[in-house]
Amino acid sequence: MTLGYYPGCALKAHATSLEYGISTEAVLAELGIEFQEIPDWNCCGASAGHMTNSALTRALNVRNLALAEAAGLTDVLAPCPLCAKELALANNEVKEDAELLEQAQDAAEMVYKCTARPLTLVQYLHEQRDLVRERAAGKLPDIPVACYYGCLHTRPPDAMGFDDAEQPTTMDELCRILGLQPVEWSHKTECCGAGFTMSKPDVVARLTGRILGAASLAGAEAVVVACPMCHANLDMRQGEAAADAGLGDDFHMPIIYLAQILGLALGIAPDDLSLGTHFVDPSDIVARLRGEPPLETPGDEAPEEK
Amino acid sequence: MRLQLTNAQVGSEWKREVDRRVGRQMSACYQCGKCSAGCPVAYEMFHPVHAMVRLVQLGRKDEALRSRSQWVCVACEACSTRCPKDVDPARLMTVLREMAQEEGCVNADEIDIYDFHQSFLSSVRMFGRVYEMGLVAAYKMKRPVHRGPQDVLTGMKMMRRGKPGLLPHRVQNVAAIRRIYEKTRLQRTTDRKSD
Amino acid sequence: MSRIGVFICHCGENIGSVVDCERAAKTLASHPGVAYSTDYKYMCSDPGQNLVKKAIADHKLTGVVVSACSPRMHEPTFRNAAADAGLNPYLCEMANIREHCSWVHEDKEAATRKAIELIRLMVEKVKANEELQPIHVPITKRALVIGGGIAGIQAALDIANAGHEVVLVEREPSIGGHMLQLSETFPTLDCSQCILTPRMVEVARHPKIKLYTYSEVEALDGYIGNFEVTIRMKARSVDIEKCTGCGACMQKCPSRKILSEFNAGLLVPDPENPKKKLGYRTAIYTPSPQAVPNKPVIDREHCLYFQKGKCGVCAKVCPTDAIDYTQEETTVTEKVGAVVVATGYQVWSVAKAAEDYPYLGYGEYGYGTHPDIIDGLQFERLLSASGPTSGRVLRPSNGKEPKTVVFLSCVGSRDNEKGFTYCSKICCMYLSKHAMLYKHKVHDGQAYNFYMDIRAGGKTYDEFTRRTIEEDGCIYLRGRVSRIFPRGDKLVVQGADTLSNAQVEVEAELVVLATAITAQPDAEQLAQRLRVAYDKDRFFSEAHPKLRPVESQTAGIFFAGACQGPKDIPESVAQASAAASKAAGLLNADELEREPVVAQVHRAAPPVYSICFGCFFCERVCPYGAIEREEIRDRGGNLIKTVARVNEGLCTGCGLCAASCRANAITLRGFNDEQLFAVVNAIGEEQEESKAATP
Repeated sequence: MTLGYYPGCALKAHATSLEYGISTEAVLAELGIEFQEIPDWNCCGASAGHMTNSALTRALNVRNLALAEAAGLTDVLAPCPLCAKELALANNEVKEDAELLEQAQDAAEMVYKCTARPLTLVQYLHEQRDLVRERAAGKLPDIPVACYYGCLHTRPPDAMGFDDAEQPTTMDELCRILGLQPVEWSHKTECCGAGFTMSKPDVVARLTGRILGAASLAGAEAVVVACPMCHANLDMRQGEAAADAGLGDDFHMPIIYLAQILGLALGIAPDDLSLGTHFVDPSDIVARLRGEPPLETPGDEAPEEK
Repeated sequence: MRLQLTNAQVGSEWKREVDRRVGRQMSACYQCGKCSAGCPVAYEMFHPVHAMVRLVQLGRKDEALRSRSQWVCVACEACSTRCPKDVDPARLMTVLREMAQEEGCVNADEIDIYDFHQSFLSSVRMFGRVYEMGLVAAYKMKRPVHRGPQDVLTGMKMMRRGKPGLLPHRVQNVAAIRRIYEKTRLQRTTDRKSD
Repeated sequence: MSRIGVFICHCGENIGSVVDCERAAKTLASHPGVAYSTDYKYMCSDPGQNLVKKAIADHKLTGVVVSACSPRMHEPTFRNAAADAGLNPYLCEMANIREHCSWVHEDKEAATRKAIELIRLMVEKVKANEELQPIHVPITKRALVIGGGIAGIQAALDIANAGHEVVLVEREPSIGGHMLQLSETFPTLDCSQCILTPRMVEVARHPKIKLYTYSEVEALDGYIGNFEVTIRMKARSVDIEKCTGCGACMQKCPSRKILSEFNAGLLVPDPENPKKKLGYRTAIYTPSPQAVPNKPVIDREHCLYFQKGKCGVCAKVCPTDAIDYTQEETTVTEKVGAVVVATGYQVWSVAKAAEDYPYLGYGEYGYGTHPDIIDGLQFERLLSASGPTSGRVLRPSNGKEPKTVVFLSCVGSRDNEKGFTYCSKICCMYLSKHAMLYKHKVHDGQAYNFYMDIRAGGKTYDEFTRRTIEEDGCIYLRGRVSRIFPRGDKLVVQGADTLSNAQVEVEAELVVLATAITAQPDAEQLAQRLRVAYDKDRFFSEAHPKLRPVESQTAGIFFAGACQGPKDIPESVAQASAAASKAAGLLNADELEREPVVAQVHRAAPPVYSICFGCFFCERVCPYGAIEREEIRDRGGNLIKTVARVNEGLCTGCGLCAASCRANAITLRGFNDEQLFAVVNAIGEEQEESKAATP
């Protein structure tokens, strides 16, 4: 069965999180998974839609789900958990309330029979963990990493229906399969500030400071994420976060996508996973993950390359 | 602070409307505070989450709609996940945001947040997908002096890495997207014929 | 020839304001078979009852119909009045013209006609009633008390002191229950063991109490006054006749790393030697130094001898040769007349729950996996002089004294989503006590208590909680805690203080969760074994929440203590004495009088014997297990057939068997076919009657 693929605005369009899109597609191809982008998908509404107009968000997402259904794609992989949540929430709401379904179908001008199933990347890979084990078990060294789920992978529990809302373990399990050493830490599901990255960056600084601090305290040498907003917030504002927390020095914590980690384990080259476009230079840890000797002088800025 | 409560206020139609739109009963909340306890941005709120529910319980519509709290909320759903009475405060926050827009009383102190949401949604309306450059430009243009210099260095760093893209991605059937916007537009109370 | 008396009650305004009682009385007066018909304001009053008695004498009535409220209210009142006047009480019936008529209709004309109809039907029934005599059953003058905690102990002592023998069954190796695990009790701060152990010893010494410890109730057969209980005595592997309780076996036992149930699984590093942990027990053990009986048991699952065939040290060192590895489980039966259930409660855990319970556990508190997050019972063991640390408050993570302790109320209680909807009642008080005792032991420590409400309704309870705040400096914060997570070697507690309208964070060194108290894990199975009702939370259901708190709905079985619902020690003791008085009252009589409204299986002369053909469908439907099988044999001892027989002691007269019997072989006395058809056939004859009678 072909996997439906909903990249979302953050992964496509040369957006801020293009790494996630590139690495996800590379990994799916390498694993031999046939996937198809939902034809003519539209934005899920993200934070702005969810926060300011629920009817609009529902209609936008019913359109996406109906498009997937019409293309014969029932499993819809949405690597961005915010997109996945909006799709799942809309799906749940219209399944339970016929009036809402009618309103959404009317606005979206499409018929939706409620057969689609949105998935996050973590959920999908966890379902495919036997394949992951077969292809990439133990391929990475046992570097301690903090698996960061963010607020949306497991919440709201009714909509996401996946893993434990308070102490999730699926991403940790996947990393362990690959050979990494996921640490026990306290901020797995604490919010990073999400959509406030431009409109209220001091909140992002505060929240990411707490997260990065907890990850450091737990002895992690990198944070593994599976959300483009989390990546952007954790990767791009470490200086401000450190300043807000009153620390003398920057965090220097590489933030790597789960798809990139899996890609490295499958032997894909770092450039093909867009590991060169992060703010916090991950070259050192990437080298160690690939079993190469560490670089001599890790800078705190990645080299300027496209 | 002094409250003069009236039967009309504590038994108002507005309270029932809130309950209906959230799909839960605000009277079920026994003010345990677990929501506020776990809120990552409680430090920013004058009325933390439980206090917002309390405002609704006492029919204090004006204070509820004019509050800053719903705008600084990051919609992380921690409160609703842990609420022992299934009051769904996260959904209440969305309803209050919608109502504030409908009544035209979005808190002016958080205009940045509101403007960003609006710019985002305008971008999606135009293209069907977010055009990041356009979004940032539109957002900054609304208050150029204040927002212009923000994140200039970060922006340059991003450009050097090829993000975001210079051109928008479009949905083919943009007209359909625009019709969705039309049909789901929030009704301002001044537009409504009857209340 | 029937001479029925009809008495119509106004019940003040309840009936009188809707039904025209005077007209009804006049109408019924002309009904065939009615010799006397009147109405009165309050039939249940003394004058009202005297009216009935006088009419029975004056008019030589052969039956009485009192038309008033529901028979559930006053049927016994009027039946007793009839009996006083010399009329068999079962010839007196009530027609319900209140709950079934005046309280549910507004149309007065229609209501009056309906009331007349209802009374008429009941008159027809009474014409077919038979005189019934109460059933007498013998009583075994002994009581069974299940559970040896404070409630069971109190009940056993009260019944024994009232002069009846008591069989007390306790499943742990020692009696004492949870109260034995506590350090000090609120509000007096009495040492719990000091006030309990004298009672425990009294139970052990009492000549009228037969104590079975390390035993469980396997089955309860029979009925009120005549129960037979099957008790399974688990194998102690110790001969308690020979054992002197010297404790040499425990000193020498090499298996010393078993979690102690008595210490609620608490382990604390020894401050002198942090690599060693305190709080374990040995494989041969007594739960506590004050155990009654002070005789050990061998935990075979952890004993080297039983698991690997090695060791055997205890047998070697025992001076009286009391160790018996070959001892086996035995079963005994005891006959008793009354049962008191006092099986108590268990303390709920925040761990990820077992499959069959719909509870998720508290992931936001780490599912209780962190050593410094403990529950109330474990903190009691920490405080207790007989506990792992001899009463020093120490952190289970590193054995150091915590300078900041945070207490959380309502963990799992009053939680519709993740726990139980009810309030566990005792936690507000014991947390207050904990904070107080902590401060008494750690003078420079600071206690915080996150609470939702303070429930301190007992005598001097509220003053007690104020002392904690005003004298011992405990900071009470009004709000629940959202999350607890470790940071370094401390715990960050993220809660709220709604009184300050704030989110508050406290860095704690020890966190005590007041987890809910719940029914025992096997409460449901026990209830089904005893055939008593229980509620959605598996607490046993009393017969009436207000007026019959210690009786079950099953005759002869009473409840005492926390098994019926969360409660503290004074309430448990009060309930135990109440249950004991009910049981003793039952056992005082020589015979038990039972209502004769019971079912009866048809019997006839040979060759029919009975029209019952032995399908035993009645046995399947009877909720009280009151159907027995009777073998009918000829003089030669050959079996002719096996038919059903109703055990009149157990039968409550519900009528399910009579309704289900395919052969129509079962009659419910007082509601036989003739009576019921009399009522049914009389419906609709009203038209002619009332036309004739209406003035």
